[in-house]
Amino acid sequence: MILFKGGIIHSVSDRGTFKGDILIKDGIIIDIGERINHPDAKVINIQGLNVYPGLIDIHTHLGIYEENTGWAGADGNEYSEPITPHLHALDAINPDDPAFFDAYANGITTVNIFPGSANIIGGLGVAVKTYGKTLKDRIVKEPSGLKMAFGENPKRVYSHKKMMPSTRLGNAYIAKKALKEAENYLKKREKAKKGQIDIKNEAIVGVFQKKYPARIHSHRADDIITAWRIMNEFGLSFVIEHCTEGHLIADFLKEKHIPCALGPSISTKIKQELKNITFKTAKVLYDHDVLFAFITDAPVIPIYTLPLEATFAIREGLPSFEAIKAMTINAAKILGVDDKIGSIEKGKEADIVITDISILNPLHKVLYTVINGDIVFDLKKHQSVVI
Amino acid sequence: MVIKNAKYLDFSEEKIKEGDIEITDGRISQIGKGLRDENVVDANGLYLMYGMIEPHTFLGIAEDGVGFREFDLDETSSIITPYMLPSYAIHPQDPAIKESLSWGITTACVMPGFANIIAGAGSIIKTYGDSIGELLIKEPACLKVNLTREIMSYHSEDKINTKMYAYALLRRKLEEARNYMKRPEKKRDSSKQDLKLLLKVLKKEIPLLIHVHRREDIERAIMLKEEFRFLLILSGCEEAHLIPELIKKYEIPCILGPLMRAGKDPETKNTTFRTCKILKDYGIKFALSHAQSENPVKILRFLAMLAHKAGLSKWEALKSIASTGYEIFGLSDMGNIEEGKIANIVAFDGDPMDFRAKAVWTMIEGEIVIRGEI
Repeated sequence: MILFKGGIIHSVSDRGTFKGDILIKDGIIIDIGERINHPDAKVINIQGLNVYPGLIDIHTHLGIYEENTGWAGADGNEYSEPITPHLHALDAINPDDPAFFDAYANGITTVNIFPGSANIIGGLGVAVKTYGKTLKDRIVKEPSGLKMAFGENPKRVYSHKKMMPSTRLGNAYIAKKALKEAENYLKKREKAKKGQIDIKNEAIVGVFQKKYPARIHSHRADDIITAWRIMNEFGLSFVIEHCTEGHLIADFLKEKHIPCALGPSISTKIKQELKNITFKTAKVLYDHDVLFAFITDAPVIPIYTLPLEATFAIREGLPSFEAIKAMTINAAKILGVDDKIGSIEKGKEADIVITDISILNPLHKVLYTVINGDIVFDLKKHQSVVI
Repeated sequence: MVIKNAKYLDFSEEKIKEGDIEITDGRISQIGKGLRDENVVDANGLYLMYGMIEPHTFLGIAEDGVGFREFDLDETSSIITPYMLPSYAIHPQDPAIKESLSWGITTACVMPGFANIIAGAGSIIKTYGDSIGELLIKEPACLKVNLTREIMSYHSEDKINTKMYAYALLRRKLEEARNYMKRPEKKRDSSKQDLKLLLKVLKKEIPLLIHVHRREDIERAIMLKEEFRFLLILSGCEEAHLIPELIKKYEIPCILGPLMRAGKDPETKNTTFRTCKILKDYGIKFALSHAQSENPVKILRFLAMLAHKAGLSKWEALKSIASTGYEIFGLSDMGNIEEGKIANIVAFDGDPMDFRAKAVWTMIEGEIVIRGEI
C-alpha cells in the first residue's frame, strides 16, 4: 500500500484539479481525497507537487524499432507484400528496448505499438505498459487496432519494387480489395460455422466485428478523406494516424466523428505530404470538438517529447487542460481502455506521474513514475533526468 | 535607429539589462539611456536576444515539403567530394528558412549531408534574402568530413565497408593535398580544383569540421589534426562527455548534436542532453545543433531548454544557441548585443527560457524583417 500525500492532483476526471491524497493498493487506486490515512500504507509526501495520470502514447514503434541496434533490431516494416494484416507487433517487441525506460522515466506509462506504414495493411498493434516483469504482464490491449497506411509511404515502397501500389489509386484499390475479401470471408465463415480459418482475413474481421478499429496512417487531407470513403463503404470504424492536414478539414472530421492520433508535430517536412505540418492543428481540432490524442511516433521522435507536443500546442492556444487530456484520457478513449487508465479515479489502475512544475513546461522534471502501483522511477535514486 | 525601453540579454555579463540600443549602418553603435533618433522602435515589455545560429544545417538544400527525392544533400556518385559548394544548391525560398527566421534564427551554417567522407564546404548564410548573393555571408566557412558508420548506409558494398577504409581514403586525400603544397608554385597543376578547399584547410584558412559520434572517433579526429596540422571543429560528438579531458587538452570546439534523437544506432546510443553540462564543467566551447535530423530548425530554442533541464545553466544554454556558434566559426562581429556587433536581434514577449515566450520580431542588420512566429 502506498499513500501519496498532499499533491496537486490533475485528475483529468469530473473532479478536475484539486489538492489531495491518493491511496494505492494492489496496483489500483482505492481512494482519493483530503486527509486520507491508513496504518499499513507507506506514506510519500508530495506536498505541492503536480500529479497526473500516467501519460499514454497511442502510436509508437517501441521495442520493434529498437534503440541502439541499427539493422539488427529494426522489425517495423515487412516490405515483402503490401497486405499483411496477420502480423502482430507483439511478435517483434523486445521488452528490453531501453526506450521503455526512457518512456517511464519521463512519465509515459502506456504505449501503443504498431508495425510501420510501408504496407496498406501493416498488421495488428498492441498497447502495453512501459514497465512490467514480463511482456504478457504488460499487455493492456491486444490487438489494439489494425494498422493501415495511405499516402506516400506504401506507394514509395512498392513503386521501387515495380509492384502495386505505386500510386494513390493503387493504395485505395488494394485496401478495398483486401477489405472486400475479408467481408466475404466473414459471411462464408458464419454460414459454414466450421470453416477453415484464414489468419490473414481473421485479422481484418476483428475490425468488422468492432473488436478494434482500423488505425490509418494519413497525412494529407485527401488521404484522410480516402480513408473515410473506403471505411464508410464497409461501415468500419477507424482512427486517423498523424492527421497532419487535419486543420484543413476539421469540419469534415467533426461531421464524421473521426478521432485522430495527432503528430508528431516536432517533425521536419521531409516528405511532400508533411508540408503543411503546423503546431496549430491541435487547437483547430479542439475548436471543432474532434477527439484527438498526441503521439510521438517514437522512435521517429524520442518518446520523451510527448509532453513537448502538448507544449507547442498550448503555445498556439490549446487550453492546458485539453493538452493534458490529449496525453491521458483522450488517448485511453481512442484505445478503448478508458475504464482502466487515463485518469486518476477510484478503481483505475495506479499509473501516475509526479512532477515538480507543470508537465507542460519543458523544464519540468519527473520525480516519480508509478505503474500498476509500483514506483518504477524515482529521480532521487536515479539522480539525473533521462533525456 | 534606436530601440527604446529594451530589456536585453548581455551574454558577456550574463545579465538581463535595460537600455536603449542605437543602430547605425546595420551595427549596434551605442547602448545607453535616453538615446534619441527619428526612427524609434519601442521594445517595451520585450526581451531582446542576439539572433540564434544553427551551426550545422541543410536549410535550402534539403528543402521543406518537396520530398527527399528533390534534396541536394548527398552527392553519392562519389565518396570523396571536397569541392562541393552549398551555394550552388541553396534555395533561398525554402520555407524552412523563413520559418527559422521568424522564430529568431538569423544565421546558419549550411553543409552537405552525412554520406561522403569529404562532403564539401560549409557556408554561413543569413536567413533573410531573396537571392543567394543576399543570403551568403561566408563560403567556404569550413570543409565537412564524415567519419561515422552512416557513410556505409549511403554507399554500396563495392565502394566502402569499413571505417578503416574511410580513414585511409581521407588520409590519402589529405596527403595528396600536402604533397601538392610541397611542390614549387610553377609545378602545381591549377586544374586540381578538387584540392582547393583542402589546401585552405592545410593552410589553416578554414577549419576541417569532422562529424563523428563515438569517443574513439573523436580521438582519431584529434590525431589527424595533430598529423596534418589543421584547425578542427568536432561535429555530432554525442560521446564528447565520455572523453572531455582530451577535447579540453586540445581546445577543440564542438558542434553538439542532434541530441533530440531516438531510433539510435549503436554509434549514437550514448546521446544525452547531460553532455552539455559536462562539457561546460570542462570549459569546452560548444554550440547546440539539430543537424536538421527529425526536428525543424525553428525549435532550436527548445533544445536550450532541454539542455538547461539536464543541468546546464540558463545562460550557458542560451549562449550555446546564440553566441558560441558564432565564435566557433570566427564570426567575431556577431553573438551578443553589444556595441560594434551586427544588429541581428530577436525580440521575445517573455524570457527566452520561458516556453510561453514567442518571437515577436526578428531583425537582420538593423532592419525588422519579419513579425510573428510562422
